[in-house]
Amino acid sequence: MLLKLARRSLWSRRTTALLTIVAFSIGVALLVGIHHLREQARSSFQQTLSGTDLIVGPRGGQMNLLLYSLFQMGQPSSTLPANEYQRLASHPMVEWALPIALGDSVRGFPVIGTHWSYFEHYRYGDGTPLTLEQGRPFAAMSDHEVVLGATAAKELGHALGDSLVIAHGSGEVSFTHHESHPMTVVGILAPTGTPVDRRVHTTLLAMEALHSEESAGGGDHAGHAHHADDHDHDHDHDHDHDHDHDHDHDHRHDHHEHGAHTQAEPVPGAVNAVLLGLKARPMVFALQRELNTDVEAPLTAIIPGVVLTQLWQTLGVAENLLYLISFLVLLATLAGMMTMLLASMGERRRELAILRAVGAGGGTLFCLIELEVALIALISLVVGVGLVALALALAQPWLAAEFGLFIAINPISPQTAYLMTGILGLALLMGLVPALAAYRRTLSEGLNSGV
Amino acid sequence: MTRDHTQGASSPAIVLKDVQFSWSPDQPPLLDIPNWVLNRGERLFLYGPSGSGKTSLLNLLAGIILPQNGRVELLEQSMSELSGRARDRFRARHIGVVFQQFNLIPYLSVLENVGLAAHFARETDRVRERSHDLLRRLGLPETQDHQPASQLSVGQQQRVAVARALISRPEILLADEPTSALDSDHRDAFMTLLLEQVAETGSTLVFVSHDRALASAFDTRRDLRELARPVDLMGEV
Repeated sequence: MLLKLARRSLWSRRTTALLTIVAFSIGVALLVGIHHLREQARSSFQQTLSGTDLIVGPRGGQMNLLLYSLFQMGQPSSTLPANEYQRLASHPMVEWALPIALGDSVRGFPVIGTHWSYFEHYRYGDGTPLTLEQGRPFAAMSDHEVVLGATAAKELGHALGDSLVIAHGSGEVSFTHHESHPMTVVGILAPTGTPVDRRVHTTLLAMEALHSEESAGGGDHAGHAHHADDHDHDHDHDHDHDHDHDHDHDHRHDHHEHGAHTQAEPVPGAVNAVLLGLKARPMVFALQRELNTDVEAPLTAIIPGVVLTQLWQTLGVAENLLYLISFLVLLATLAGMMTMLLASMGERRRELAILRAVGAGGGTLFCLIELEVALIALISLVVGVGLVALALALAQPWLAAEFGLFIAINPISPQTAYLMTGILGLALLMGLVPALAAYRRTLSEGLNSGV
Repeated sequence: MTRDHTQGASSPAIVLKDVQFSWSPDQPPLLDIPNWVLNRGERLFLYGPSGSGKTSLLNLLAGIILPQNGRVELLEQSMSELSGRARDRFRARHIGVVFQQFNLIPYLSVLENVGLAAHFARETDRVRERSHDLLRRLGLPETQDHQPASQLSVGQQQRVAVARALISRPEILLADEPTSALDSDHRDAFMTLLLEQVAETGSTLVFVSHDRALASAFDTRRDLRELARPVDLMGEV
């Protein structure tokens, strides 16, 4: 009966109630949406790479190693010594080792030189392997075949069989193209929602071939080989490569310091990072320690999950700020609802007096107002979550196509359920103000039936 | 229901003893009633011009407020001995109230308004049939049963209000100028209906009005001022 009263009473004031619900829904949608996106981003971020137990690179910052090996952001500080990849691959604890060689790009999409077993061992999400949408993996011994990530294929507009030219450096605009060595697209990967989508995969062999040809006829760029340390310290990697010419000279000095392997002739097997899969996971700490303290070669080994978490935490500040803002928006809409209800108390004096006359106590009227708040809140929660789901459903294809982001449409998870319960509780708390006003008014004014 | 209001017609329905009341403690009492008894089944016309403490008296008689001093006994039950909640329940079961106007919840239908009173009285016994009966006897056509109360004319609203007040067969019916919003034709028709229904229910009626023309229909007529002796006539606006 009380519920029916609350429902009818709201309906009789449907214009203001509707406006309140609209505002409240937007507040809910913001908070739930941001919460959901945050959770999704966090989990997809955490699942950028799976199955890889260690990432090994030359000695340097852990974050830097993670950024360039996984996200192709920033520049590798140097390369691993030539024999290091072989040594790691044949280590007794290691089951598989994937080389990652960086430094070139195709119109801004990073080229990764790797091993054919990349398509077997590279995993993301909960251990999902890469799948080819079209074509086949590059042949192990090929020096001119590439496999494109989904986004790269789409953006570059390349189909199977197309030939493409790899440019030196990682920028969108490069003055140095390996034109004498065109590559052929043999495969296109299915979208993964990870940096894989932006990669152009090829063999180490191909990368060497590119640069050896380059060095044969390429004058100034002769010495760069495929080593990404060409770009040492060139931190604005997204920008043009005007600087490269300057930097290249500097780098030569670096190379000298680091040893002979980065000299003019490319050394087969020189890579920027190696992904390792271990025979037994528990050995990961032992091996990490062993590699980090290796006296033979200056190495850095990181556990990807750990560093991904650290990275996420550093990004967390902005994200928390966004969260806070959306929470404040919700508070504002709740305050709006409170005002609406308080204002309605004036026009509802008679209604309350009638209820009082037929035997409704102050407590009943208190419950009635809180019930109205609960109704408004519940409708707003449903509409708000619906809005989020609708927005995601509409935006998902675009997000997937443009950013390779795969966001689940259903925003309801245990956490959002808690969040929604919290919002309901907060609404009821705010509802205390008009509810108490109704309660106290009925006690102090009595049956002031009159006009 | 086995309640028989006519039984014990000589026992008091309302007893006020040494009652003093004011809305705020630092004001002199608005009402000061040394002794007043109304027997069951009586129909009282209480002449009360504005400012005579009418509203306060009705609130006291409905058990909504308690006097600062003295005792209010309704149906031999002392109001000050009941908790607020118990008084609410007592009111729902034993007292019906008809206001000057705005007696109905505008967004509920005629039937729902009547049913609302039965709900708070915890009455479930054939509420629907009895509502139908009452409404028909009060001359409200069935076609209007499901109309929102806000669509009725004032005269119709007042008749629904009577149905609402009588649905739980209250021992005491309080009417606060229920005819003041009606024109004279409607007023007479309304009075006839009201008195008929009260007679049928056997309720004790306290009818407060400033319109002496209505007094003739009642057994007992009193002037609120002689009863209450308000200390300050201008105290209530």
